Amino acid sequence: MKLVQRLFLLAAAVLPLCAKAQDAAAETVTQAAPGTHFGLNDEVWLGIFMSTAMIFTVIILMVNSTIRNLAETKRLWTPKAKEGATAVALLLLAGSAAAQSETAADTPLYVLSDTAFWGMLSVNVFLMLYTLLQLRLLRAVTKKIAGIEDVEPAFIPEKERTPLWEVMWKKINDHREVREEGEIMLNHNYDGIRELDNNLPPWWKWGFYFSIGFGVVYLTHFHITKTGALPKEELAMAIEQGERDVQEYLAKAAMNVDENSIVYLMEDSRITAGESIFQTHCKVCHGAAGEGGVGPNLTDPYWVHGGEIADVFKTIKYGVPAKGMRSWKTDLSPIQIQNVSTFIMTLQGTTPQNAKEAEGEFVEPAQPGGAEGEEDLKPEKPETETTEETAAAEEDQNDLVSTVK
Amino acid sequence: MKLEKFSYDNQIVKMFLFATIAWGIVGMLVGLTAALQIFIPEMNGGLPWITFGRIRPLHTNAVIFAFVGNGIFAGIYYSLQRLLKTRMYSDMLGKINFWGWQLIIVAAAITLPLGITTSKEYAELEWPIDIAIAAIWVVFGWNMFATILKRRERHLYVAIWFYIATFVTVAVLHIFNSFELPVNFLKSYSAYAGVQDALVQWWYGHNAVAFFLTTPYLGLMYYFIPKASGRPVYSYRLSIIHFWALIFIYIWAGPHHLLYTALPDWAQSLGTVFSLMLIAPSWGGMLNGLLTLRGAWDKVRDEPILKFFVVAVTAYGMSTLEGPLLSLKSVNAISHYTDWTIAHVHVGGLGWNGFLTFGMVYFLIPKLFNTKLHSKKLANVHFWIGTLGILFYVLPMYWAGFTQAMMWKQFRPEGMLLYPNFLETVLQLKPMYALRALGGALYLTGAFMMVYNVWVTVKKGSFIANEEAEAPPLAASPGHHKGENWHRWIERRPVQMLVGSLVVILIGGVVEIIPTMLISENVPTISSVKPYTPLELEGRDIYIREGCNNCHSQMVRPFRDEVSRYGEYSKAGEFVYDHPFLWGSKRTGPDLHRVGNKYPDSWHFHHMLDPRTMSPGSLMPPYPWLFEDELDTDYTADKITVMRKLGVPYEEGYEGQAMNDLQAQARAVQASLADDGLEISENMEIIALISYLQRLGTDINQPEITNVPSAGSTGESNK
Repeated sequence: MKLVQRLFLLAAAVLPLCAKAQDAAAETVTQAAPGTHFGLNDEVWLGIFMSTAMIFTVIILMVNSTIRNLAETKRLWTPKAKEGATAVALLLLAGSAAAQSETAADTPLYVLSDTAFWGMLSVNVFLMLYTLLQLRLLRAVTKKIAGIEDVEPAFIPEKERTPLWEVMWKKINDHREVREEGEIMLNHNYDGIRELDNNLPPWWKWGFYFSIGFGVVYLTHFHITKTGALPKEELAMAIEQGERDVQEYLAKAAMNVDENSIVYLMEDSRITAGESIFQTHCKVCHGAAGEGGVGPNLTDPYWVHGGEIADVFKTIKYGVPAKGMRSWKTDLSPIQIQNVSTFIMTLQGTTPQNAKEAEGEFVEPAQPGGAEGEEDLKPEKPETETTEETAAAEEDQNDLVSTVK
Repeated sequence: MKLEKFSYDNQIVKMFLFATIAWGIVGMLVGLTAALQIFIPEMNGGLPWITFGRIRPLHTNAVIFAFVGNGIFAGIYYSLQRLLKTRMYSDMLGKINFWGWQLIIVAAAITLPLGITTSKEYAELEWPIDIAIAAIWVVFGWNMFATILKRRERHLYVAIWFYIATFVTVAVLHIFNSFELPVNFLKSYSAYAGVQDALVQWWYGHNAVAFFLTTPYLGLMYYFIPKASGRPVYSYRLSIIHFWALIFIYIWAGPHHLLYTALPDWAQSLGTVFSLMLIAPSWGGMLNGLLTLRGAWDKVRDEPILKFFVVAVTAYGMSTLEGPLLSLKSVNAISHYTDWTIAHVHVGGLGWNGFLTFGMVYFLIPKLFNTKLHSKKLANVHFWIGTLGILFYVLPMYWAGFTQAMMWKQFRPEGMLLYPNFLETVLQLKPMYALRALGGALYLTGAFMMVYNVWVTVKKGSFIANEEAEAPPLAASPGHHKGENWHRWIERRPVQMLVGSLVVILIGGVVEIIPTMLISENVPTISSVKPYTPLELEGRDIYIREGCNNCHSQMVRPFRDEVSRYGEYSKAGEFVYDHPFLWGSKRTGPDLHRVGNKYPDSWHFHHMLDPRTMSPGSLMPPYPWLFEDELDTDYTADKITVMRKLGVPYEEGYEGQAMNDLQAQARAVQASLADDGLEISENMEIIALISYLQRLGTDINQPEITNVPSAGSTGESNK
């Protein structure tokens, strides 16, 4: 018992240390996408972990002091107070280590690194197991005080009704009790070593059969019916799946463009697409060549609501109802808004006929980006690249994104 | 019946026991040095002889063959005499066994730091030592078997079945894995190449664990646990079933070390299913060990010997459950090449072998010296600090392994690797490596406590060299009688037991190895794969000498991330001239199979001189001596000849021209370095190594992997 208890304590002490050390290293390294574990938000997890850890700690402390008080008043035996104290100290250490790895994250939301998540989960599991151990100890103490000695099972008289788990236990182990072992003692004697002839434990035997069955099914699956994917097929599938995921992501990412992520990229396909949207929806007010009409002139460097592409995007998306510009976000997809914004930017410096007079403030005409590794679409991406290699990879990735589109 | 008087030879037990302790300390110290170097590369002090690649095999050989090996002999020489009620057959053979074994260990301790190695894991020793091992092993077997034949006990106890199986199997494994053709006294090439070499090696490597670290120790467990606890063995019939099932099934499981490699799929699958089937037979041993202690748990509480045994057997159970799980392809895809494997073997090594040995030492020393253990309390402290050491060792390693595998495998949503730079995944593990070294240091501290405890006990006691005993002479065979277990028959017949185990262990090996050797479709040839040039061959031998394969694999597995990171996955046909294979089993650094032509020669030049100039933060040690030592070309021609004898298609008489080709190629490398402003003599070792590295994996035309967008671009950045 004490052995098990101590092992738990040791493990509880080592695990959070791992977590801490790892997180210390992790600070300089890119963290993967933040968010959730098993579909639950990290804040929720943090709440669960902290509260259960606290509850367990309180229980442990209470039970521990109860045991000590009981034991001392009855002068049963003096449980090593030191050990209880060490336990609590270790657990607190564990808790605080986990908590510190938490606060190290400088994002406003609580984001648990995987390390912190598993670390805290392990701490909680250990706390739970330790609580159970403490409760068992409490039971033993109270029994002792009540005069019901915890005696060797060998001397407990046969009960009328054995509990179910005991029946099951007997069934799956199928061994003779220690007190009956004389009946199965063999007449072997090797240098004083005797041998019993207990039956093979049924759970063991059935496990063995099961593993053999598994082997037969496994070999059949992969090599006779050939229904299982062998490594090379797995690779083909993984590459295919990866490709699908990338496509899906890119499609979705494009839909996720917003005023914060948009970058001015000159691309013919985008401009053409943007022009057709412009001719359908915008020329009514801004003129077929952007010369202006009801709305302002879009060809001059003067802008009412900002002349950066992000401003244009925003103006189209949300509109400025007070000034007569409607919101287009229910009509146009983000990618369409991006395209049309891009087209509008290309109108700069053209001199259509009937141009409306300038309105708003002067804005230096923007140059299309992308040439120097500017990022195009980068929603939900960590911003902690440090090395040159990753910058290079970034560039490749931009190329990829544009080519895929 | 008249009792015969005789005496047990304790002298030989004492010698082996002291050797066990001494080599244990040495092996663990070397391990600790390696553990420190892995995160502080400067710890090698710039000395080639104690650089990680050379002392890692020294550590494994020392703890397996010196520490555990002597432990096996000590335990067997003690228990065999008592279980058979006779003195060992020959004191002289025992002494030859002892001194021969120690000489082999010393030879290993000298040759491995010198870089004299075959590169095959746990079989690194060169051919003259291999022959010595075979000879001494036969001496041991002879002495053991002759003792069995002159026994006074009719039936063989289960421990002895395990000793017999150990003897025959280790002999078979060692001999077949050591087929090699010498170039000179200290250099040989494996007779097998590539996939075949890998299969034979891991048939050996896996079963070295099985029949050197497991079966003899199960035998010891069957003796020492009942003796130390005074309890009867839990189940005789369980011991029969698990013994035969264990030795039969174990031998098949070797290919689980080669999952997802170029080994034929059918062999991989056999490795997986037999590993799974191995759980129950292994656990049979654990159950018989732990359940024997039923009714003696009160003794466990105050007896450190039993505590050691309990943790040892538990660790055995844990690692024999984990091993099969690691053989499942989906788990192996995560664990393999990472520190997870290191954690796994250390649960077995530190827990099972180490703790069982410690328990045995604490049991035997007072018996041999006719006294009480100096301090039970200190033994208890040893137990706890050792346990703490194991935890501090294995938990960070599990953590490290899992972390790294996850980092390798992650992709960005855009289809690029999230951590394209391999180094990034290594640096993440540095704190784990530090904690592991702490765990190792704690464990070693415990071992030192044992040394002190033993020292004082020995001083206090008086050694009984010949322990008097008496027993009735061997009774006539009772013959079969009604109600007798069928297995009693073979327990009376040691020769049949020996032959029976031999047959049982041969089946698995034969079924797996022979088809791989003979059926050509198992290793499809690739016409563009050509033999190495003489300079590359010399470079390869430097790669072997420096033990590069201890940290770098040469096996790109068919995974999306690996194909993305390294390039086209490795094919069986690419290794047909690789005597020996150099696939490796751990990636402390990145895979090198597709490193050829990835970087310019000057990159390798700088990187080998100081890895941190090319890869800031790298944990690889510098290799300045490759820039100072001239390549030894005395044996180049012989190497070509030996390779031809092994089937590598060098033209007849090519050895005469080899030196010219070697020099021409060396000058070409020198010129390419000079282009980048690097001046060095063409005779230096580094030139040969660069030529080998630049050749790696370039023979097949790399087909475009059209579906992996990042194959080319991210490759650039993994250093």
